[in-house]
Amino acid sequence: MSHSGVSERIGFLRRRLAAIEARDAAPARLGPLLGASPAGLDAGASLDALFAAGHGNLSEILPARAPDAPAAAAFALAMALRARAARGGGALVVILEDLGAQEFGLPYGRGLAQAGLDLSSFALIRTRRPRETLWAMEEALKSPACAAVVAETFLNTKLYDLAASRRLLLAARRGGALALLAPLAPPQGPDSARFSSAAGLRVEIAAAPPPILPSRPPLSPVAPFLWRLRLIKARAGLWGEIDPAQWRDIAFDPEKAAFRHAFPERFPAEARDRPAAAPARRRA
Amino acid sequence: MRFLSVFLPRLATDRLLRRRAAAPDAFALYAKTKGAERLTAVDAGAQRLGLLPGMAVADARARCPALELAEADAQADAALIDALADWSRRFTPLAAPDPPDGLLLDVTGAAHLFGGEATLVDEVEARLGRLKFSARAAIAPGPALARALTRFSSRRLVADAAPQAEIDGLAAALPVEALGLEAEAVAGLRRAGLRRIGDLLERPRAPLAARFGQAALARLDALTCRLRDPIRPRFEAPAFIAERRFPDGLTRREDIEATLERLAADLCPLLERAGVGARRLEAVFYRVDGAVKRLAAGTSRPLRDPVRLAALLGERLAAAAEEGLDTGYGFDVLRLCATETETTAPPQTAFVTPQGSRGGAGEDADLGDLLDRLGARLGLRRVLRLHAEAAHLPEFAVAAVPAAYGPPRVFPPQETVRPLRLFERPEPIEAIALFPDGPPLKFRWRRLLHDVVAFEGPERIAPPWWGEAETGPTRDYFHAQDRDGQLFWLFREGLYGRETDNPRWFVHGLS
Repeated sequence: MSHSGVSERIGFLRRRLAAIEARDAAPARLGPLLGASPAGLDAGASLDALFAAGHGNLSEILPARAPDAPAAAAFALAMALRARAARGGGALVVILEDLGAQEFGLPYGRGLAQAGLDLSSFALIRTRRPRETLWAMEEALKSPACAAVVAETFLNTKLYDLAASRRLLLAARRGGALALLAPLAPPQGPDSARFSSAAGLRVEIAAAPPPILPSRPPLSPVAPFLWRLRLIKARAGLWGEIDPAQWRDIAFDPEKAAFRHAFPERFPAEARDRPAAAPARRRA
Repeated sequence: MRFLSVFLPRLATDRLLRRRAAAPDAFALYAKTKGAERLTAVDAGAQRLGLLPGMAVADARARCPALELAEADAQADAALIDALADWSRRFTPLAAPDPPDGLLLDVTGAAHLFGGEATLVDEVEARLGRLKFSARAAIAPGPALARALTRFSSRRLVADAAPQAEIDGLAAALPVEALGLEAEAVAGLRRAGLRRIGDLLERPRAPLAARFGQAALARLDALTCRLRDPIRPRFEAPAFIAERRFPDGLTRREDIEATLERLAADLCPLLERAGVGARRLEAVFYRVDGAVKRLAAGTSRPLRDPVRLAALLGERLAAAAEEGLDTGYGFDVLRLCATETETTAPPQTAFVTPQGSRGGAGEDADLGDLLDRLGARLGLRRVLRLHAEAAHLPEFAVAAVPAAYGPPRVFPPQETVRPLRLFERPEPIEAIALFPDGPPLKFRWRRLLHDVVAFEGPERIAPPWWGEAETGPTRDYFHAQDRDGQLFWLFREGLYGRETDNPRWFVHGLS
């Protein structure tokens, strides 16, 4: 069989799959998902559009290394806020296991409020085991009240297989909520970030390190909503547009509830034309 | 008022014998009192052989070599009485244990459900007999009289409309022990030649009161039903109850669920008529063999929608089934009660449902449903909402409150930056600072060394010095970022030189 025949067949199968998927979901909801023309990822607005594929979808936010788990959870929260703003309201549910609370603490109300979260529509569910987390997540997704459900879990791929993720996806489509699964530990093994699941989007998140410039007073820390991101899987029709090896910097703007490129923070301009004798200014 | 008393004369021996296939010829319990081993309870066989409680074990053995003995356990007896009181709530919600060997039931207005009082007495005795307890029951207008009849009379029923003369006549024939006084008081009465209640009734009251105390006269009045004498039920009777009874026990979970749905449909009109909604529900399943299973579920808002109530209990039932719901030979009485209720306004009904009305309140109701369902399965304390508190210390500024307690308080805006995650208790770290009250340079947390490359702070937070309680030292909070970009919220406890010479460092939050 020729090479072109294979790609034709795959293209056919993809269309068939898209048709099947479209049947059990509202077409309006899936419109942006199946849109055939992916926007380029260069402009900040299009980066936001990638995560806008949102409602009724399942996304996996993996931490790149073990200490990046809080950053990945914060990214999931930002995606949830984004989904809530896009929907124009609705509840946000965070599910957290006891072990996760021990390792990385509980979501803090004051910080969440500053991130633009309306706490009157926020609920925190604490579970004992990953199995309970999956159950609670499915229940929450089925409810029409939820705009987004974030599950922070110590999940293994044995429990979270194709069937389990498919259940979550269908529940999310039924309730019209965004499902965000944020494992609190990176998957083990060299190529283990490529496990199979029904998720539409899988990204790997690392905390963005501060720029290290010699001979300067200590910087103030960058805003919390700043990450380095690597796309591992995107079902939104972005074939060829994403390079799984490329790390991008991404920031979240809590006021606009939108993602954008993180250029301004990443490269503070050095004032080269300043007179040499200018007194050093301390930054607050 | 109608009271049913149950007397279990052989409770202590029945407790052990009912579990055995074949009863021994003679069985007794013993306990050590003042260094001597004495019998505390004997079964019917032992009694026929002339053994009595209080007899020394050695004497009993000499008289009856085949006697089987076991040690008495007063705690187990008390627990059994409580369990039987729970069991007897299948007849009436007001049931009280009457230690050491009886039960008291308030059956006012409940007897007709069982086909009249005589039938009820028979049924109680028969059911206890099937559970292998020897029992005697009686119904009378007062609990004290019912209690006395079971123990000292063969009469089992005193009519509600019985004239006082008839009650007095009935009581007069009873021995003075029927008063239920302490042994010394009874001995005193007997010494005075007063053997029957009638002897007391004939005498003037003042000398009796002077000699035996007011308590004895109060008991006398209670016995002759001159005094209203309530019982102390083991559980408060819920205001709203629905129940169904089945000739055969239900064993299939589907049947139990369907029954719960019917019960919810029965309960909701009662709630609606009273203008209240259920905040706490209890489903009680009475098993054929006497065991009682309770399931409780709380709601985040007053509910009286049968579908939602049934869904909530179904969830709770599923959780119980995961742990193993032992249906045994089946449940024959299922009861649903609203143990806590709250006033709620009736829902607004419109002639025409407005288009797209699923906004605002509908969404709140959906979220409430979800949280109730999660709470029923995971436990109410695991479904939380965040309330703002007026406190400066970060750990007290937000309270995670079970969603069942109501909607959260709104947060006032805050200027200072707070982390996204907070540890339940601050974790101690080893930190190095350039100078004692300066920012951290490096710190070791969970065995890993972190280099601080950027920081912000300090933000000084003093403990509540205005309160009565002992307060901790002042804290200086820093936002810090390490070389890998991880964000920490650290604090130093204690002001250097003023409060401590050796301040300690903690990680309190992460972003």
